[in-house]
Amino acid sequence: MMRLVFLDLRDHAATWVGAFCVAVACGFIGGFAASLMATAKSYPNMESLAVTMLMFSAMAAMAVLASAANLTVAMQRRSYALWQLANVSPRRVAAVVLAQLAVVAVLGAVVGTLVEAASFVPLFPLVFSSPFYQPIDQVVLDAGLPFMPLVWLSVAGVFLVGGLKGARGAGRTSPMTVLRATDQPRKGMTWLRVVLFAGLVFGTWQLASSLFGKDLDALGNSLFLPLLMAAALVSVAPAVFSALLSAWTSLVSQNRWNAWYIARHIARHGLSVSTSVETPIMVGFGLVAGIFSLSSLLETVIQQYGLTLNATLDFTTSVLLLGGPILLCAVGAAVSVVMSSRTRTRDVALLIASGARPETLVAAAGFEALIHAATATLAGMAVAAASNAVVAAAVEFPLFSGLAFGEGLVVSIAGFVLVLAATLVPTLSALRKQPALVLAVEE
Amino acid sequence: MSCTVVAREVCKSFVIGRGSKRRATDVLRGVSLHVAAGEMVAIVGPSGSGKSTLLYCLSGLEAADAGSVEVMGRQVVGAGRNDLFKTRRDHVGFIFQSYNLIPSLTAGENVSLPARLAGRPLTAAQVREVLAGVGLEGREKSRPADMSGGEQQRVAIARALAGGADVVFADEPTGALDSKNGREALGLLRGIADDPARSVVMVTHDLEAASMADRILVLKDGRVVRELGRSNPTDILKALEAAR
Repeated sequence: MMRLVFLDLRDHAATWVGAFCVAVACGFIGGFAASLMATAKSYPNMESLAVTMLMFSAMAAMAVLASAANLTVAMQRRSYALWQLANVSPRRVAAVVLAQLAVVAVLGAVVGTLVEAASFVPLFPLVFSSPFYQPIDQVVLDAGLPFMPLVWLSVAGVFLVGGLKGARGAGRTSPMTVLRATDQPRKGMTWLRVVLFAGLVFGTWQLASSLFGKDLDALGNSLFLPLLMAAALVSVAPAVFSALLSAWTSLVSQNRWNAWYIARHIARHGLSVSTSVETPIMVGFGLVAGIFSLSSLLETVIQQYGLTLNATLDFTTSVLLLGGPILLCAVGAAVSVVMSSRTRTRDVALLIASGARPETLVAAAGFEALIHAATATLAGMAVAAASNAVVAAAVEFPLFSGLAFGEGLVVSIAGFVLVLAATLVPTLSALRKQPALVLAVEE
Repeated sequence: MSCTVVAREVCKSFVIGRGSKRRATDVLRGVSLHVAAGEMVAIVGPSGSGKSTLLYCLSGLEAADAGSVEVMGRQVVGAGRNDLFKTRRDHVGFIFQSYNLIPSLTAGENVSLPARLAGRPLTAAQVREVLAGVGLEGREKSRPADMSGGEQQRVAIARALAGGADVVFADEPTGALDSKNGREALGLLRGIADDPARSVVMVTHDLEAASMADRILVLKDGRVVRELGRSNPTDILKALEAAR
């Protein structure tokens, strides 16, 4: 079995490299938190920072890791179908898939933690450069190497949980169904997602309720509100994003541009890919815009009450709270699109054979990136606006006072640029191939 | 008699192998043929004889290394990207063995796509009519994944028709179909060729399919070694065996 695990990983390295990159990013962030924890042993006030950083990054990590694991398994369905035809039992197929996920996750996490351990010493003074944390030259840095295996296990654990359903599905699906189908199946809501959503909504409700009638000191917890709301939205992402994408893109006439027509269909149809691309950008936008909005709102509240509290996010706090999620979101979004480039090659060949101009397909790739980024941004705006409204209501301010999308839009634009690169490069590469060769390979 | 496709001395070679084992293999070695309007031509031959490569070179999906191919009077070999696109858009339709429908589009959208890309979008009624013409009434909203192989191939044929193609190139159109669906697909192709303005060029292993063509070209080692008029499967088999 181990031979099958490694040979298949080698043969489909182009697909697995995406999951590997996500695991590297998770390993790096987990490693940074571990290093902070180890350093904080001598400086207890740093420990809470490390825990907060972990909480924010963990949510993004779970969303991105699970998404990457599922997408990888979905991309590999054809290969798993061929195994079944070679009489590999469904149970063994599932076991091999899980073993592959574990191997890739651990390898990626090891690389990520190694890079982090090597860069922690030069990185630390950069991250803690805000005046509030000075002086830091006396801090004894500890990379926390003994904690690293815990990071590897955590990354592998999330990867396995995220890919569990896909792995079981890979073993159960009829091989002929997979081989006949020319596209990925549409995965919608599952009962697990519904339960998770219900739990997260309950948690959000509890936190929101706790903010009413409390003093201003207790409002610090409100920073977790966008986190919980984004997590709740992630759990129902396949249903919500699909509906949102269909709704807003239908506002533009389908007859206006062929490129728009093609892009909309590709984005709507590839639900697994779309969700994997949009989730990270939504999380990034929701967290950044949500937290900056709350910070701005709380600042106004503090000023109004003439208090001396400080609610402004300094550079260090911003990096620690949002650096991890943003890095993960960026890697996750780009990786998702790159992983789907194989099907893009075939789609491009089919469209060229149908009479599409190369320029139309390049424009369609641009529109597709725009559709993903805009859908994710709209969902992220809802998260930021909702969390802001709850806190504003708790302090009896107008619901949308303090709402700031500017910083979030930076994330969206960065996400758009990454996704654009990830849609354009495979499209341009596919355009250089002879359509006949691509279509003949499929036969 | 006007010709839709005229090919002269078409050559094509592929480089196969890696490193020191790299070598060029000649797949087409000077193929010449013509296809008249209202004609159905079948290309048969043993595996590896270059049938599919010839079809792709004739249609402009693959670039020939040398020779000349004219589709509706437009040169395909050495044509620029835009000229090639215009030739395909205005005159050519494809039917593949594995249907090659675009999975994200419904049957109706697949059918109307070439016309839409050509800037002549079809109305919903026209799409319904074309689909009805291939026996798929009311299936315009179905997705390829929800259709049988025979139905998908009919959509592919409808797509080639709806685009207004003057020449339909079909690569093993019955290869993935059972005999009943295969016969129906061939009947539709025959119907296209019966239109005096259109023609069909079909690559096939199926002798029954080849027997429906007006002319049969037998290809071997990248050359046309024999040409038959309308023939029955037994005669085509004899010609094929003689070519082996």
